[in-house]
Amino acid sequence: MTKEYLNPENVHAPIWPYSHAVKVGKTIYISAQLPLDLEGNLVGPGDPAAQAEQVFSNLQNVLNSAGANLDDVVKLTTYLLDFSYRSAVMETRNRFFGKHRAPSILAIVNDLPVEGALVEVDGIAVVDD
Amino acid sequence: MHPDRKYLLPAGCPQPVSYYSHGILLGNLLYSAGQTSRDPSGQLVGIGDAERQAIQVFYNLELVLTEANMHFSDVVRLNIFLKSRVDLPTILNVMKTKFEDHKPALTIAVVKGLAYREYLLEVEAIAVQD
Repeated sequence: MTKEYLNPENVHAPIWPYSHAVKVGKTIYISAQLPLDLEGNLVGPGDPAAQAEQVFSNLQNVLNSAGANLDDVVKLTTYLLDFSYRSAVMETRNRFFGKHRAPSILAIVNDLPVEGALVEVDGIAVVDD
Repeated sequence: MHPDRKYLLPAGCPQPVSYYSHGILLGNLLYSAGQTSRDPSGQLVGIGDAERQAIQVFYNLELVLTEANMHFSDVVRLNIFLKSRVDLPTILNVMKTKFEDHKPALTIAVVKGLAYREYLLEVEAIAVQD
């Protein structure tokens, strides 16, 4: 099956050996998106709303590079460093996703892989024929 | 149900410690269980040693892939759950020895604990055969 490895130019370069997304047929597997700007710098230290804005913007850009958009997301996983960030992150998510309600799960974790990150989000999307 | 569903329990893998399969193969699509640092006899290896554990974990993942006639280069998505961010560079180095230049979608999360107190990491994968 044809696989495309996607690393769009409008999202920071991967910080480890991974691709931002892998597209296999109609399915797109998206790596956890982090609150990192184009240069790979952490945005919004201590600010979950600002970080979520960057995370969902990255997610959107990655999807777009795969010929998809947020409407195509069929599964979303949000990892938060603390429960208190939930409302800010969900508000941002809902604004990005609009009417599309993707099946979602939220987990509070002990730590995230990048120091200072408060949130990361990964997902699976399926594009129409 | 997928007509060709196969439950994978590779010979060299430790018996699952509870009620699960190491993988399910649906045609050319493989979902693996979280792989852990147990040897074929089920013995925990590398207690307190993230590198030793990572070697065992990726070895076990390789057995699952092999059972599905796949390779690391078929992995499209990888999830790494680990107990301490400090161990991340070590784990990624071990990953690189197996994945070489192949770069799947990747999610890393640091959790408070895993299925057993001694586990420092678990790794699960989705793979699609070319």
